[in-house]
Amino acid sequence: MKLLVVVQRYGAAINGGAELHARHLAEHLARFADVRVLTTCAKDYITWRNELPPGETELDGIPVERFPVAQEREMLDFARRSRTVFGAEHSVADELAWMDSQGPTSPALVNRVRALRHTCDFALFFCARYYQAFYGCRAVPEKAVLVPTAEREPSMGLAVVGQVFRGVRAVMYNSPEERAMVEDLTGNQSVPGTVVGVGIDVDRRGDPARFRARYGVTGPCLVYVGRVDRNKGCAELFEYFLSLVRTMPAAPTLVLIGAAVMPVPDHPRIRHLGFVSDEEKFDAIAAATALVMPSPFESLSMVVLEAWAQARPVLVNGRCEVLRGQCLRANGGLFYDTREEFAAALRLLLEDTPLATALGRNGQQYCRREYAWPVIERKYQSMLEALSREPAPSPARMAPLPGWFARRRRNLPAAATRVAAAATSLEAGQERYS
Amino acid sequence: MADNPSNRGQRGFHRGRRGPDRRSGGSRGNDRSSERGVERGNERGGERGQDRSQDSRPQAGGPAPVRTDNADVAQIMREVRTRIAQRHGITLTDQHVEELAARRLEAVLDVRGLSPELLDQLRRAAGNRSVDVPTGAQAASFEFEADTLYDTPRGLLRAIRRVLNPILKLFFNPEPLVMALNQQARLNTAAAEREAERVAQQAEWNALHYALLQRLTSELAKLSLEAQHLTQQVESLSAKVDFNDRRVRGLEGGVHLAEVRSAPTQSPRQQESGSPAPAASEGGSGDGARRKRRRRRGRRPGGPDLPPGSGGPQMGGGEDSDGGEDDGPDEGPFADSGDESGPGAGEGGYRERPTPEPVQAEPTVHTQTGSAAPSDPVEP
Repeated sequence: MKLLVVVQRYGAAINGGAELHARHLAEHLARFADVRVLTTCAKDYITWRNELPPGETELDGIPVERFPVAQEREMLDFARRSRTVFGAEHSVADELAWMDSQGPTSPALVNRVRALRHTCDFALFFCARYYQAFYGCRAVPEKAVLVPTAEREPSMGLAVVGQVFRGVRAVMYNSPEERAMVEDLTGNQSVPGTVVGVGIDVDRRGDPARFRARYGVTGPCLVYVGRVDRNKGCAELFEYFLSLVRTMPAAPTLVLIGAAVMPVPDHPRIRHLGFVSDEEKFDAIAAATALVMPSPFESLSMVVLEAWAQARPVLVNGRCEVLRGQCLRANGGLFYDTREEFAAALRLLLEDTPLATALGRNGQQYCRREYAWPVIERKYQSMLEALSREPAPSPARMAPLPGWFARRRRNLPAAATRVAAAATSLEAGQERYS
Repeated sequence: MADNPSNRGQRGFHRGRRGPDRRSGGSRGNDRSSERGVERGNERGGERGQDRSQDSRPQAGGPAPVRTDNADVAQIMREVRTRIAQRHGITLTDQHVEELAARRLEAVLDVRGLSPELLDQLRRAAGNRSVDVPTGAQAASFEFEADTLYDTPRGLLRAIRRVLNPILKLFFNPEPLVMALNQQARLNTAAAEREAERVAQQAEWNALHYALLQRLTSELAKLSLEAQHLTQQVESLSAKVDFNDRRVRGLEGGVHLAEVRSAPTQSPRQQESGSPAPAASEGGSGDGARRKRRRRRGRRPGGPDLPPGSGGPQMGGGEDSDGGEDDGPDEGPFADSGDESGPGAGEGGYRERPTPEPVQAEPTVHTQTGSAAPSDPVEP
C-alpha cells in the first residue's frame, strides 16, 4: 500500500501537536505501507517563511518532499480577513481569500499531490483548516483521508471547510468530541470515520530523581508542558495558581516546560524551564504530582497521554470538551471550570495520595487500551483496508466551488456564530461516540 | 467486654450520634463541610492515616467514594462542585440566579408602575445599540441657494424665469429672503445632527442603565440567597449548641447518678463491716429519706423491676430506654446519657428549645447529701 502524508510542516525539530502527530504516524505506518511525506519548506507556523531547502530528503527512513510557500502570511491582512469571515456575513470568495491568507500557500505542493494521485492508494491530509489540506483534498478527493485535528475554533464554521469534510473518503478523528462537533457543523455523517487519535510510547518512563536533582525542585510539583501562551489558558492558570498559593502554605511548585510567548509571573513557586529535551520532559512528568493542561482548545493532548502513560494524574480545563471527555472516559484526572474548582481539585490530588494514584493508574490503563501504537496502527490498517475494498467514489462527490457570481454573494453567516450554535449538541455527541 | 463501662459508653455515644450531630458530620448538607469543605475531609484523612484508605464506607465530610481503585471522576467532580456550592451557600447555577434576578427586576418595575412598553424599550436598547435616528442630512435634505427660487427641472421654464428675473427684481428684492431661507436650512441641519447625537447618547445610556439594573438585581439575588443560607447556618449552629448543652448536662447527670447508685450498694457492706454509711453519718434523717424514696420508686411502673443499671424513668430518656434492642444489655449510666442524646432528644435538639430534663439529675446529688430532701424531684 502506498500512502502520502501531507502536512504543513515536517521535521525532527518541529514539535507542533499536529506535526508531531503526522511524523509519528508516518513512522509507524511505514511498517506496513510505503509512506511518502509531502510538506512545505516552512518551519514557523506564523509566518510560513521558507527556511528549509525544497526537494526530496529522507528523515528516519521516510522520503520527505518539501515545496516552497508562495507567499508568507501577512498578519494584518489575515486578521482583517478573519474578522470578516468569523464575525460577519460573508461570501465564499471571502472564505477562499481567508484560506489563501492563512496559508501555507503552496500551489506546488498541491500540484504534486495531484500528480501522484494515480501512484498512491491514499493520501492522509493533516489539519483541515490549512491550505495544503483544503486544496489537497479537493485535488484528490477519492484518495483523501482527512486527519482534521479540529478544535472548537471559528474556522470550523466556514462553509468551504464543510464541503471538504463531506467530500473526502474518510475522516480519522482524535476524539469522540471532535467527531461530534465536526458532524454537527458539517453534516458529514455519511462519510466513513473513526476515532483514532495518536499513539504514544506507553512503556517510556522518566526518572523523577534526576529531574529534581537537575532543577532543584523539591516537594510536590505541578507540571505544565507546552507553549506558555495566553491562548493555551496559561494566564488563567497563573491567576488560579497564585490565588491558591496565597491561601495554601503547602502549595506545590508549578513547573512550566516550553517556550513562553507571554510573561511568566515572578514567583518562587513558579519555575519556568523553557524548552527541554524529551528525556527531561518525561523526567519532569514522572516527578509531577499531577500534570496540568489549562488549554480550552485541544483536539487531543499528547502530553496528557504521556502523563497517563507514566501513571500520573492530570488536571485539565473543563471547558475543553475533549480533555474533559478524556478524563471522564479514562477516570484518569480531574477538571476545573472555575478558580474554586481548580483549588479543590488540586488539593484533592495533592492531599489524597490514594486517589491520585488510582487516577494515574486508570489513565495508564486507558492509554494502554486506546493509545498504544499497535492499537492505532490496527485502526488505521482496518480503515484503509476497508476503504480499499470499496469501489472508489466519483471525484464529483466533492462539491465544486461556486461560479464567479455565486462566489461573491454575501449570504454566509459568521463562522464563529455557527460554531457557537453547535455547542449545544455536544453532550449528545459525546454520548453518541463515547 | 459487654460489661465494661467504657465500652458501654462508647456504644451509647454512637447511638447518641443518630441525632443531628451525626448528620452534621455527613458529607452532604452539613455545616462543617460547608465551613471547611474539602479541607476538612482531607485533614481527617490525615488523622486517620492508613485506615482511611482501606475503609470503603463513605467518610463523613471527606471525598470518601474516591478511595477505591475504581475512582469515578464524574462522581468526584460532582462532590467537589457540591461542596463548593455548599460553601458558597448557593446551589443555584448562574443561569438560575439570572432568571431569579429577571423575575425580581420585573417585580420591582411592576411595583413602581412602570409601563411595559418602556421596559421593552429598555430591553431593546440594551440588546441593540444601533438605534435608527434621523440624521441631519435626512432632516434637512435641501440646500437653499440664490437660484433655488427660480430652479425647475423644466429647461424652457427655467429660461423664461431667467429672462423675467430682472423684471421681478423691479418689484422687490429677493436676496434677504434667499439669505434667510439659506440660514434656516443650515440651522435645521445642525439641529437635526444634535438631535441624532442626543438620541444615540440616550440609547447608550438606556442600555447602560438597563445593564446596570440587571447586574444589581443579579447581585441582590445572590446576596439574598447567601443571606438566607447564612441564616439557616446560624440556626443550625445554635441548634447544635443547644443540643450539645443538653448532652453535656445529660452526661453530668449520668455521672452523678452513677455516684448515687454506688452509694446504696456500698452501704450494706459498710454496715456488715460495722462502719456507718456516709449519709447516715451526715444526718439521722438520711435513712428515712432513702426509704421514702425507695417506696416512691417502688410505686412507679417498672420501677423496682428494672435492672440495677437502667436508671429508670428518672433519666428523662424513658421512651428510648424502653424499646429497641440497643437499649437492652448496655444500659447503664453512660448508655442512659447516650439515650439522652439519642434519636428523640437529638432530633428535638434541632427542632425545639431544649427541655430542662437533665436538670432532674442535679437534685439527686442533693438527695445524696441529704440537704435537699424537700426539693426531691421524684415527688409525684
